[in-house]
Amino acid sequence: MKSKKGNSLISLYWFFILGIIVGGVLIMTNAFYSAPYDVRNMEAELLGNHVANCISPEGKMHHLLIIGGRFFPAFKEDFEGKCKLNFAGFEDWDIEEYYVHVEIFKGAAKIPSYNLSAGNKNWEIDCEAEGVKFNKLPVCFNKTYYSYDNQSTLWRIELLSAVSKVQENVK
Amino acid sequence: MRNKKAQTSETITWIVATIIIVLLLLFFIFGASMLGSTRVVEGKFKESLISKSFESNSDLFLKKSIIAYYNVGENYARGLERNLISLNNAGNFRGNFTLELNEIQNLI
Repeated sequence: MKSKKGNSLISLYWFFILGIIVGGVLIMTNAFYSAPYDVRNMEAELLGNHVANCISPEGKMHHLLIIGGRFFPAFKEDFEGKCKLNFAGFEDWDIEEYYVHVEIFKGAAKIPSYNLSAGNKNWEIDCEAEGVKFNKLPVCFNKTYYSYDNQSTLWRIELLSAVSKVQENVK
Repeated sequence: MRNKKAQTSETITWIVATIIIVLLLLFFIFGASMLGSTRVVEGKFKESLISKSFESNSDLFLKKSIIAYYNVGENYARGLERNLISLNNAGNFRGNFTLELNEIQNLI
């Protein structure tokens, strides 16, 4: 009788150990595979490419941005609409997670002739923290390139795009 | 009495074994969570869906700049070539500057 009781106790113990091991394996798998992929580098580059293609499609300045060598203010007023940008994002986002800033210089000028921006301006300050490797900061994409207009004038364009989306991309 | 002593030592063995199993599991859980940190996907794109290479060597911004180089007045073009070379050396462009320059020259 005693032996029977002992046997059932050992069986219970084995089930308990089995449960612990199964639980441990599940926790391990979850810990390894639940880590997100940080795609913000690609997202910031795609956003930068999209804005560059909007400002200078096929390398030439947008026909509604510069008219007769002068900037057309309506483009700035409806920058998001003209470039088909929608930063609204998901419903549960409290803040805008994107930012785009464009500075346009005439030739070799040091002061920009025109600038355009859309999105959450706060990310611009975080982008200035160059070299800081902290993944809770937004990912920024900086490019300088050149374009021309109808009058063959050279324009230098400095583009900055930033994507924050820390919750979706960083563990 | 002897039987009781044997039972006690066996129980202690199982308790120690259980502790070792739990400790090992905790160690592996910690290791898995360390290895499973955020994976950063770099922004390197393929030329096209059917392209054999895994990443594109061309650069949209370099292409636009070279198109501008061929379309601006001569007074701008002289300084622009120098600026493009220095931007390329600074890592602003990803593509091959000379290759893109020749490619676009052939197209224009």
